[in-house]
Amino acid sequence: MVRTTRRDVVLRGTLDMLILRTLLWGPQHGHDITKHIQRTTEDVLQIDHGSLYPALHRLRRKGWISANWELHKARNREFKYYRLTPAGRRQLVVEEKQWQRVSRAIALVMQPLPEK
Amino acid sequence: MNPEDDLERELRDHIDLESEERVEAGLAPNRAREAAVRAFGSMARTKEDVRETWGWMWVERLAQDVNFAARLLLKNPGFSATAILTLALGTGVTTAIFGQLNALFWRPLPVHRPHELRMLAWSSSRPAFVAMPNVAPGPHLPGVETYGSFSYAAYVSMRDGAQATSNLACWADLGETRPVVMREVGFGTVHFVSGNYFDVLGVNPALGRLFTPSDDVPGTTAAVISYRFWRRSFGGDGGALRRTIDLNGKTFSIVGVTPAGFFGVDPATTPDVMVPVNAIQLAAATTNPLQNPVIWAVCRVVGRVPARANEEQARRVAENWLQEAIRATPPHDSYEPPRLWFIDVSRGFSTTRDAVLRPVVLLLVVVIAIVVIACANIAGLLIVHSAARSREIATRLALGASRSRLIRQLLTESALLSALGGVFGVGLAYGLARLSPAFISRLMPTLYGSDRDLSLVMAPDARVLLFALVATAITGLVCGTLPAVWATRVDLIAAIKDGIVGARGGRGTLGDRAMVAVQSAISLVLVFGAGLLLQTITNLRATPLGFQPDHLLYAKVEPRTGGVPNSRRAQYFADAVERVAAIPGVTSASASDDPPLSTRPSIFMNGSAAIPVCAPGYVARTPDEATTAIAGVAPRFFATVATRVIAGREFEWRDLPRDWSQFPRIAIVNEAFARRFVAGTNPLQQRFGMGGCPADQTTFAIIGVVSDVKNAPRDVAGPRVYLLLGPTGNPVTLIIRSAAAPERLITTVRQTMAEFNVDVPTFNETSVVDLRDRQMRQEQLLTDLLIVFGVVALGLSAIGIYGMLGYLVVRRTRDIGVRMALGASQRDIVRLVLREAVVPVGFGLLFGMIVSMLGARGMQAIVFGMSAYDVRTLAIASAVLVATALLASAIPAWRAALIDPLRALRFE
Repeated sequence: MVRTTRRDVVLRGTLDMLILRTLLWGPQHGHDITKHIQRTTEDVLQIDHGSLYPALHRLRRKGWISANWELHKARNREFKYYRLTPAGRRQLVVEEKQWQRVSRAIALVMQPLPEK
Repeated sequence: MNPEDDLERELRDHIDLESEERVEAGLAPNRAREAAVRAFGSMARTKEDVRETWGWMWVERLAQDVNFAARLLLKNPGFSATAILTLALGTGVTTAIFGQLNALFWRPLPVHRPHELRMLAWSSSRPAFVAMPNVAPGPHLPGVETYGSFSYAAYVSMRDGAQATSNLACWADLGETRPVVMREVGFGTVHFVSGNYFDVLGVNPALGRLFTPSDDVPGTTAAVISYRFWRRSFGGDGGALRRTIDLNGKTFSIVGVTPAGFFGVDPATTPDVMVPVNAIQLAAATTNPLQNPVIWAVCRVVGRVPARANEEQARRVAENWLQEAIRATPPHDSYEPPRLWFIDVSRGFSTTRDAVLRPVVLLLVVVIAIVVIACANIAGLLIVHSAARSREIATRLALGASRSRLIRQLLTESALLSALGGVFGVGLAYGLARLSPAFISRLMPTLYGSDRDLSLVMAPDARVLLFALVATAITGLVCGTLPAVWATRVDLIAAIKDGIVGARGGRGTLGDRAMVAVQSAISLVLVFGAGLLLQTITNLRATPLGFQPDHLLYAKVEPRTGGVPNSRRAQYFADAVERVAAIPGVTSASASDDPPLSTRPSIFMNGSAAIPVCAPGYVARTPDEATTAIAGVAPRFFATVATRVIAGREFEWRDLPRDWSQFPRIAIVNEAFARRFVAGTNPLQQRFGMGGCPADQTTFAIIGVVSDVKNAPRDVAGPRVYLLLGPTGNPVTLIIRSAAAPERLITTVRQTMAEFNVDVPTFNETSVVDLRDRQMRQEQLLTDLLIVFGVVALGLSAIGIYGMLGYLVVRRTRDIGVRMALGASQRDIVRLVLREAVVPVGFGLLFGMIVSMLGARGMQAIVFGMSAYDVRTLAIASAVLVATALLASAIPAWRAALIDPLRALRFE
């Protein structure tokens, strides 16, 4: 589960989408992904490690991301880097569309358009 | 890279990076690392969750569990070996017994398309066209008594007439009545078969060729031998095809060998040698039975009706030709034309099945019961075992292992146990299967004669293996599930602190108490069953048979084969009796063609068949009722077998006529005869006729009445007439009463008889006690087995109770110490411990009694001289069980009473 600082629970599918989206900018290792999500959400969403790694392995199994041990030049040490596959890109598009539909629907509930 | 290492490194990297970050934020390196680890949470659980996403996870985990389980089992070799051995024995024996049932009930005959085979039988209320008793009884059909054999003429008429609709073959087993002497091997079973026999059965030779119709002609000399006989007498040598064998002095050339496993169509009689039916003359007395239309004991008929054909039409066509054969040579008396029956024999003859069904099912039930007890025991052990491991289990639970994961682990352990048990068990079952024909023939000696080898082959068969698999799976589940569920229900804190299962207080767990109850119940049932059988066998032994089998010896002679002509045979028997009577140690000797306990001849002059009686003033209610059995006996017969002569006298030497063309018209009858035919009169003044009314009712004068003689205690003696033993072509049994053990006389008797006439073979020497015990062998075997199983069950239950209480005492040491410190006496403590056993054993007793009473119905047909609902036996069985339970409780109770309160309180 993705927990916000206020322990709000975000749907599991959302975590998958966030990971895919993060990897759109290039290959990253697990720790990077956490930090990236944390930074870009201004620390609202903190990824629980207990959820991140199972999610990464699950996505890999589905073929949406691939993993490789690669050298990190600055640290001179190998890390396991995840990168988006073509299938993963397509999936991201699907998930984004879905997300937009859902968030619009939620927005409609929360902030109804003024009646004419 | 190994996925586990990969994951490990990945997560470590994460923690490294995290702590680096905290160092950068200004924390001391060691504090930073601690914080990072804390922030990460449970490493084990994360790993577990990740593994969960791996698709092949279960394989991996299974391998892991199996590996772990194997290590655990190896750590406790004693426990593991016991458990595996128990399970192996259990599955092995059940599978072997199931294999027997399978072979008997579901395996079709080892022939081509067995479902097309039909056995022919006929019925008629007035079979005047048969010279009774020259016909074999047929199978029992609902409401109809049938005959199972045909005259050769009737067979040929049906075979040739019904060609278009069915293919009919004839076979005859002459059994022991007409022993066939093979010089090399002594006596063997010979089947006479028609030329198309092998064609009808669709059997291919293992070697050489089988018969064709051109072999089945008068003067034939072709013989086919069975695979078993080939191996036994020729060592499986291919050169056997150039060899000859000698049957009753005639030479036959071996032309082929039947395939292994072939036994004809009746598993009850397995041929060693098969010769064409046209050679039957060599076994018959004087006239050629093939030419005699009133001898209906020649052919058993088996036919093949193609599956697509109309069976009823085929039957009617054959029936028509059967009746046609009778019309060709009609009897003088009026008769009812026979109705023909087609009986499905694709699974062999029903007689085999009927005879073994009850004992084999009983055995199966008993063995399954034992397996359940053994399982309950292993389950009990596993419960105690896992309780001992409760700290380990609690620790693993605390470290984040899921409960289902742990249950799976524990189940893997028991599954591994039962799988190993199953593998060994199947091996054992196949080992037993090789012995099984001997075993089965021991189970039904009354039907087959204990010397006969029953050639049922238990080949590896999908159904048997499936059974073994299911048995293994069930034992695994029964043994494993309960303990596993139990073991993982621990109170974490208490378990880790105390190292014992504190959660459910000091009471014995429901689990192992339930196991004890189950064991007690089953043990009671088995002990009860053993008790019933034990009394049955005692009753059987104690039942008087009407004669004294001890110190009697039988030896058979067959003068016809030895070339003694008919006219001299009566004298031969008289001389033979005189010779053996003169042997030192022999107190009395006589002879008979149908002595008590002798094996019934199967065909030709069926010794047990009924002969119609015509007595003055007697009116039969049914035609069957007006019949009697008949036996020829030499003088002093009743004195020799020690049968009481109730009235009149028995045959003496002076009764023998000089000239046997005038058969002496004197008869001795048994009580059953007297009761039925000459009731209410002085039998010694009565006369009767044989052969049915109207016959001369004054043919035979009754000179004596003797006690009824039964072959088996369960038999009801029917009417029987004894006549003087005259010239007969049948084998005759010399009856010798000796002062000492009768077996010792065998060689002397043989020698004496050889000196007397070297050409007449003496054979089948047996002590009569042996014969009697053979008749009871099925009961004896069942009794022995049930006693063994009962003792095993009691032993297992005792171990179960001991284990439960022993564990209880260990667990409650401190509690007992406190009680003693507070003033409880040793007696109180003993009572405390025993009370724990009382409830489960009591429940077991109650259940066992209920099951016993329910099961008694099935035993009713097996017990003898008592009711299967015998309360006394049940009471004794209960007492035995309670005594065993007390004995098993004694040691734990004693140990509890000896607990030193001071040390117990310092126990931790």
